[in-house]
Amino acid sequence: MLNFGNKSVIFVSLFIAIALFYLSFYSGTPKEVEAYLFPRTITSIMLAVTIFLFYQNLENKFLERERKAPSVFPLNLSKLYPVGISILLFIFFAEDLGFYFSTTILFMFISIFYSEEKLDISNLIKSSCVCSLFMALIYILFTVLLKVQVPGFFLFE
Amino acid sequence: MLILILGTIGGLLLGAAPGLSPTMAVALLIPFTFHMTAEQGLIMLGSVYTATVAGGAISAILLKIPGAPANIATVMDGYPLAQQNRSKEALHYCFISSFIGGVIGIIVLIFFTPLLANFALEFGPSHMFWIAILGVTVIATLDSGSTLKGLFSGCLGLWLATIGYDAVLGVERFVVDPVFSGGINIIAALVGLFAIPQVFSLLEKKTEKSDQFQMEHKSLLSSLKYNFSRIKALSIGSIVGVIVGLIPGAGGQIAGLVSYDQIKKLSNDPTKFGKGEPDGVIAAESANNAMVGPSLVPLLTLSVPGSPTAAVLLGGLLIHGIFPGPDLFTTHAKTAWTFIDSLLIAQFAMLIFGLYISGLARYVMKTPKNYMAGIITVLAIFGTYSVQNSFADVIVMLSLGTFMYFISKFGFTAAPIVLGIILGPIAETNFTQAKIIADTQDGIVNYLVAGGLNVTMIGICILSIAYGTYSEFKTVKQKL
Repeated sequence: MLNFGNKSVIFVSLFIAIALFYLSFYSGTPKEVEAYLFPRTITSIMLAVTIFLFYQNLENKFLERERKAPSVFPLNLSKLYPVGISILLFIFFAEDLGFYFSTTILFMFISIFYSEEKLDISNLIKSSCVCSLFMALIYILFTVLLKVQVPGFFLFE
Repeated sequence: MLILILGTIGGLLLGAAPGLSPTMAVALLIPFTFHMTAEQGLIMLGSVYTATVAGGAISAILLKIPGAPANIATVMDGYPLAQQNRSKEALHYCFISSFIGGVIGIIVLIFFTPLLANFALEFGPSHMFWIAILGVTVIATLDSGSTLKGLFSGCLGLWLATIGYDAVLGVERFVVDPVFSGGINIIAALVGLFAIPQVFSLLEKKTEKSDQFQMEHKSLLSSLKYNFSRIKALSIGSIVGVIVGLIPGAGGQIAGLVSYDQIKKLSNDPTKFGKGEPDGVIAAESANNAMVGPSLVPLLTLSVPGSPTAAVLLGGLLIHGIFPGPDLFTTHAKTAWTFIDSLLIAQFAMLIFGLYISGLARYVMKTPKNYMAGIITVLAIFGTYSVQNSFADVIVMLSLGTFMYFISKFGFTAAPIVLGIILGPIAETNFTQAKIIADTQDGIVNYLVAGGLNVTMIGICILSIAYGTYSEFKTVKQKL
């Protein structure tokens, strides 16, 4: 569990605002100034909002409320990193492995890994059945009815 | 008609599934409508919107989990009714009062929209710019718990909308990777920002075991008779729903909670509330459905969405080439009226299928979170891909979704970002056009603040920020 302090909001917003401010003001050629006027105005406002956020986080009343009813929540990285990695793998390999094959693997992984029931043969069979049925429905909907062409490999090609 | 029926049934089931809010349901279905005609797509989205708001009450009553934020107030007396083995009765009240409130709301939509549209025909580039800014400001200050975080999110959305080619000058901007060369697709953003954080949230929590109740045999006729005898609860719910719906950004949860509070205050015996008082369910459900129609009035006439779901619907209208605004009822009159009429018919479909499905909905609600997360992920991936047959859109969707989940932990919300992405091009195009006109006159600042209408809209923007800050300040005081 990754716990953030209340003041971490300032760092996150400041990081985003400065990164976008830098991109907006240091991109493009001098001839393209007009095209960058709107994003530059927006990022300037973002920086101003971040300064207000900074001052808000210095107020005692606000800090006291944050202690009683926090608006910053811990990030459960230990629970979520497997799904994060599987999404990353999906991004890298889905086009080569085929959409149906890779999404089936992704669905199976999520339903088995995050199952709150005991992992045994009967639950594995149950998960496989649910997954196959749902993917068959997706195939009928997207490929048969909507005629969407997705990257194929060997499953449902 | 078939689309309307399918949309209603799908919306009821999606609404019954805990965690699937109307906003997310509509966002998930937008890619499917891409393959339909504009009329068909809007009928589908409208019926889903109507049905999910009512469907959310099923899990609120049976599981004590509001299917959507709009059903928070329904839990207070709906769940105690279910505990007394009166769940079927509670569901009957819920769908009948949702129907009555919904029809009243659509009637308001039908009468108010053309009036406001005629007025909006006078708008020029500076007005349209301020309308877009107003939309982002209102959602930013009302949807988020913090005005500053809401405004930051709105600005982030406006900036994300500038990625890709500038519409007026044709300059390529911020394309750090070829994936972003076409800019950020609205649907990829919508689906990613709403669906993916929901997947992470489902997976990080442990499922709470809920009690299962027996469904009693309750005649529909007696429920109908009782429901219509509760005129006070129905009137309060419908009036509050209509008023709240017309205020941009207020949303169904405010309508439900305000009407629940009012009926409790005006009741002869307020102590009954919270212990299974049918009036609580009737007022809350008629209010959150009465809100649906009026929340679309500012959307259809001014492009200012009245609720986060209306903001997502705006994306649905745009992908069908329909830009809601002053000329909607002249250039796309047929589509606009088909949409509004379908919302009215959807109320009847919602009543009929809602009453029928309420008995079967228990099975949908029992779907374990791991399957629900898998289903949402697969639907999000295929839905996003199918829009342009582009894997880049899927990458954008997954990346934005993961980023949204991360920043949501710091109290930032998705609705202002989505609205910023949707209204960004409108704001920027009108800003650039205004600048071109202003360069021949007194300069951009003078042009943007000239005239009563511009000043009024700037005033509303400032007022909405002031109101957001005031409400936040009040909440701080209450919590101390």
